[in-house]
Amino acid sequence: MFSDEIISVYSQALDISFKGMTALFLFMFIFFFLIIAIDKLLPHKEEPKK
Amino acid sequence: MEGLMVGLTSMTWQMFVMMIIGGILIFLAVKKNYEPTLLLPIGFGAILANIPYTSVLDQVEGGHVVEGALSIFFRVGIMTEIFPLLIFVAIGAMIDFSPLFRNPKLLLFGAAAQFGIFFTMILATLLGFDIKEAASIGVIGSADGPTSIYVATRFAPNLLGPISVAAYSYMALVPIIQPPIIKLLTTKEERRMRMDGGGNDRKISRATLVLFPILVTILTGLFAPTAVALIGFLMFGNLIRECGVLNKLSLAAQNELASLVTLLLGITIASTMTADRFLQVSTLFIIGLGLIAFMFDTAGGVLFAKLLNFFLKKKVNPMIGAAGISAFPMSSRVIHTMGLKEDPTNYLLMHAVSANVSGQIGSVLAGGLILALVH
Repeated sequence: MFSDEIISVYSQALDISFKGMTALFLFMFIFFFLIIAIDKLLPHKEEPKK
Repeated sequence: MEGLMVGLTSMTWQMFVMMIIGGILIFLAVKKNYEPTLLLPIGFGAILANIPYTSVLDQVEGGHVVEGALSIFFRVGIMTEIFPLLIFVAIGAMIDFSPLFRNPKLLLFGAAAQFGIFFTMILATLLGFDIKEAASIGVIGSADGPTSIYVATRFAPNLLGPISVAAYSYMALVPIIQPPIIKLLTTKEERRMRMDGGGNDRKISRATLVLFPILVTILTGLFAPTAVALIGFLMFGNLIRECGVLNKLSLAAQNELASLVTLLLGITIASTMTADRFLQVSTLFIIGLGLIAFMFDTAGGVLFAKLLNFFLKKKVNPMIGAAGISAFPMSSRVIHTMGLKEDPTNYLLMHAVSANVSGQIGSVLAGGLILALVH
C-alpha cells in the first residue's frame, strides 16, 4: 500500500516521536525539580515594614 | 493604455480565489475576532501578493530584479528567523510563571499535551510528506504561532503560508476544538472533580522568578543547543519582566514590540501565499493535519491526567491536562468554563493557568527538540 520510501520516512518519524516525547518529559522533570529546589532554597520572605 | 490594462489582463482565476481567501481571513478577524492581530495582516497580505505584477513582491523588469517590500521583509525578518524570535521576547515578557511555581507537578501536562505534534508528524509521513515537511506540519500542534513559523522557516519554507494560517486559525478555534474531545474522553464525575488549592495564594520570591528563566535557558542549552534560540529569547523576555528593574522595557516588549512585530510577521508571511504556492492539494492536507494535531494534543493531555491519577493521592481533574497546550489563555478559560458548567462552584482557573503556562514552555521545547532530532 505504501512505497518503501514512505515506510522509511514513517519509521524515522516514529523514532523521532519516541525520542522527542521522552526528551520532553525528561526536561519537564528536570524543570520540576529545579522549581522545587530554588523555591526551597530561596523562599519568599516578607520585607520588614518601614 | 495597454500598460494600464496589464494587471487586469494578467489576472487568473487562481489569483482571484486567493483574494477571496484573503477576504475570508479578514472577515474572520474583523467579524469573528479570530486572532485579528495575525489573520487581518495575513488576509490583506494575501490580497497584496496576488495582484498581478504586484510591486510588494520581487519582479523581473527588463532582465533586472526589482525588489518588493514584502520580499525584503521576508528575507530580513523570516528567513533570518528574527521576527519569530522577537515575538518570543514579547511572549516571554507576558508570561507569569508564578502559578506554575505554586503547583509544579502540572509542568508534566506541558509535555503530555504536545503529543499531537508527534502523532501528526507520523501521519503526515504516510501522506507522502518528507520528514522535514512532516515535522513542520506536526509543529502546528504546538499551538504556538511563532514556533510553527520558526520550524517551518528552517525545514519547509515552501509550506510556510498554509502552516501559519492553520496554526493561527486553530488557535482561535480552541474553544470549539477542545470541548468535544474532552467530553468524549471524560465522564461527568471526572469533569466535576475538585482540586485542592495547591497553595494558590502562596507568594514566590523575586530570586526564584529571576533565577528560573536563566537556569532553564542554561539547562536546555546544555542538552539541546538547537533549542536555545527558541527557549532563550522566550526566557530573556521573561527575565526582563521579572527582574523588577526594567519595567519600561517589559511593558514595551509586551505592547509595542509585540504589536509591531506581529503586524510585520503577518503581512510578511502572506507574501508566501501566492496562488501558485498556496492552491495545492498539500494545503488541504496541512489544514486537515493541523486540526488533527490540536485534537490529539487535547487527547494526550486528558489521557495523561487520567493515567497520573492512578498514582496521585490528590487527584487532578483530567480536563486540566487539556490546558497543557500552548494556546494561552484561551485553553485555560475553556477548561474553567467547562468546569463551571458541570459544577458552578468548582473553580479550576488557577490550575488550568498553571498547566497552560507549562504548555508554553513545552511547545517551545518541542519545537527545539524537533529541530535537534530531524535531520
